[in-house]
Amino acid sequence: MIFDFQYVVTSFTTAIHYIPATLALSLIPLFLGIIFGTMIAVCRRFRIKFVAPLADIAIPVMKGIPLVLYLFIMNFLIFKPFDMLAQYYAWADIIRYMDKLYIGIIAISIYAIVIISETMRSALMSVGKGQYEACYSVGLTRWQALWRVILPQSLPVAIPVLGNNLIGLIKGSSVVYLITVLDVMNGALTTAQINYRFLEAYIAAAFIYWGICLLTEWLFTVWENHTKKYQMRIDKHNLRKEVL
Amino acid sequence: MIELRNVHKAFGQNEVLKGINLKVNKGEVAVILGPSGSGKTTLLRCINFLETADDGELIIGDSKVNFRNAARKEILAVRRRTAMVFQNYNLFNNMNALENVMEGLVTGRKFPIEKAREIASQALDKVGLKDKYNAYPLQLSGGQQQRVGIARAIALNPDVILFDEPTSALDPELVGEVLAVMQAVAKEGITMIVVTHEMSFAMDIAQHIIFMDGGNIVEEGTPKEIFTNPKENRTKQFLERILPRWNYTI
Amino acid sequence: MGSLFDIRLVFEYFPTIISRFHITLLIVVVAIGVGLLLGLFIALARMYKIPILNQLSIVYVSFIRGTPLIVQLFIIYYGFPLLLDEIGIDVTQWEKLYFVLIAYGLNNAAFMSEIIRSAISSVAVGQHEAAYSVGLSRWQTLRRIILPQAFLTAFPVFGTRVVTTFESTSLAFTLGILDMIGQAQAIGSRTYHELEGYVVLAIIFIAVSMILEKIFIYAEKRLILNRR
Repeated sequence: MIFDFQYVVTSFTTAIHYIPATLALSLIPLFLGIIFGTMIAVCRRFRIKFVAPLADIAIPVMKGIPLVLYLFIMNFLIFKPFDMLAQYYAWADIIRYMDKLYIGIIAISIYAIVIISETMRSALMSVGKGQYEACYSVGLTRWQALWRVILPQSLPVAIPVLGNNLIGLIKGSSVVYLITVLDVMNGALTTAQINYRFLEAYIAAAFIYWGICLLTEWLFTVWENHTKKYQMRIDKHNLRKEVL
Repeated sequence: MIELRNVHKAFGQNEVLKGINLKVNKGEVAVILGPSGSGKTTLLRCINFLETADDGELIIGDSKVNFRNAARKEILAVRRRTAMVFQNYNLFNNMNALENVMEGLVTGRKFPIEKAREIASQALDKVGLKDKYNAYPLQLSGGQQQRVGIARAIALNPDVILFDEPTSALDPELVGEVLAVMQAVAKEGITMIVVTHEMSFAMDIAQHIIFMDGGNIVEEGTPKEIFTNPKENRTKQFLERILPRWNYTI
Repeated sequence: MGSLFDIRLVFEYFPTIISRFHITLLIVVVAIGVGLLLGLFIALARMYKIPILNQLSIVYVSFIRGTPLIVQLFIIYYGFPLLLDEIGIDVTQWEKLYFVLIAYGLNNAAFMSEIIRSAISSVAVGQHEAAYSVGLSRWQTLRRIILPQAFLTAFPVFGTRVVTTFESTSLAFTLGILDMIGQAQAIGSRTYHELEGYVVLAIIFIAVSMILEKIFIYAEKRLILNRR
């Protein structure tokens, strides 16, 4: 079979309709990850009773599990009990139309919380002890210090890493096609299932992901520069550029 | 008036404060001298609970706190009667000069913003930074940062301001401007406890000199008593080592 | 039907699944090896701004960083035979594993090149100048002065990269490779007891990535000690 660019276009035009699904699969986990990940990181920083020691064990352990496994396990735990009941009561239709998008979102969110809690932890640690002491010396409480001084200073450190986390989530979300969720990846493949132009379909998907990721990177750079107004030196060669 | 009774503090096996008793009167400028490792900075940090002493009592004005069982509320109350000027300034990097000075008033003490801004700008004017309200810490020189630090402390109108080696991190040519501001603060009758190596400040400004060594207060008295007629051998030795240096500066 | 989870099956499946560990290991080793070599090459092309190669490298790294690994895997799998066919090499008889190895190697090269590049640029300009001032050539400067210093900076990030690569091998099964995940899937579809297999996988992945992390932290400490 000869490579035909026309089929890339066909696949591309189909797949772009599924961009919202891919965004839902990455932005909702990002949002939940920032909220809960920050809460976990703060609990660990302040050594909150029970939560901190628990997170000290749970986070490194959970970090070791690949995203696909979260997906498969969540798929099994949520879907299988349903499936069994359905077979028993012959609810075939319910299963066929059940939207597995939510399973994808849940699995990716768990993964995102683990990853982002580590991002926020290192961002919190980048703020020196002196800043806490200055807060306490002018009579702020721990939470006031956190809210007014520590978090605002952690944010510029966290943003580029969060950007990389998001890019990782966008790319990682493509695994949901394995449980038949219709995202960009699966959308591109729907045309290939008819015309067997798989290479063209994957290339179309690649272009869409590439575009989204470049846009994300650009947005986060703008945001980062915006929050960095008070920092005169910007470290251009940040080794944390490492991503998934 | 601020008083410490029998304050003990150890870091692991290392006993840093071995039962400190100290009384500083209202409006007094007290300078703590001593070789490095004598516990003077730790003592200062215990006064506003940046370190929690293992044992002892702290009396500020009419409130009395026991270090052994200080509740979080009591600690906060003590911190709101004290203020601190740090060796490396520790300005809030995410706020400009004015916001730095306002923060303790607005967030800590719930002053209305307008009132806080008025107090903060007065404080910054006092330290000679009328034109730097909007500058961020990293845009200021070390001397200017430390003056913002002092403004942040005086704006709170505390019972006592603690100075932890406020000029040690500065380039020599910037020390003068900070000492001048400290002298002006002293003239206003604010109680100050100062840890410093600036002997000229100790001689000219202080009313009360405390000499510490090995976690104990070895000797205390007026500058005249300590500098011209020290009773203890360790004080004499210490002064002999540093006297030539300040002789040059006169 | 039966129960959803049977702890005895975890023990039963464990040996079967871990027996495919060598495939995972092979992918990691090849990916890191190819990634380092090709990555260094890309990094140098970008650092010394070699015309055309520099621009190609920028696009290449951006593409790899901006697209999912699965997509890259399939593009290599479907596209490589076409490409090689053009120059007269027939690869229809190749095992799928070769494509997986190529894909992981190419993927890692992009990330490695970024690690190497930022490590090299983290070495102070003064080091280059000092080396030139005593008469070293550009290549000598790089080999004798810059790379040894960059190595220390890059090492911890390199460690993270190895762990990430290990975790990313969890996608190789999508091409039909019978690695640990492939094995667990096979067991799952045969017995309908998928969860037990996943638990075995989770345990193995957690254990290995934690061990890898510990090894790299230990090695880093040793490296820094030796430097003194």
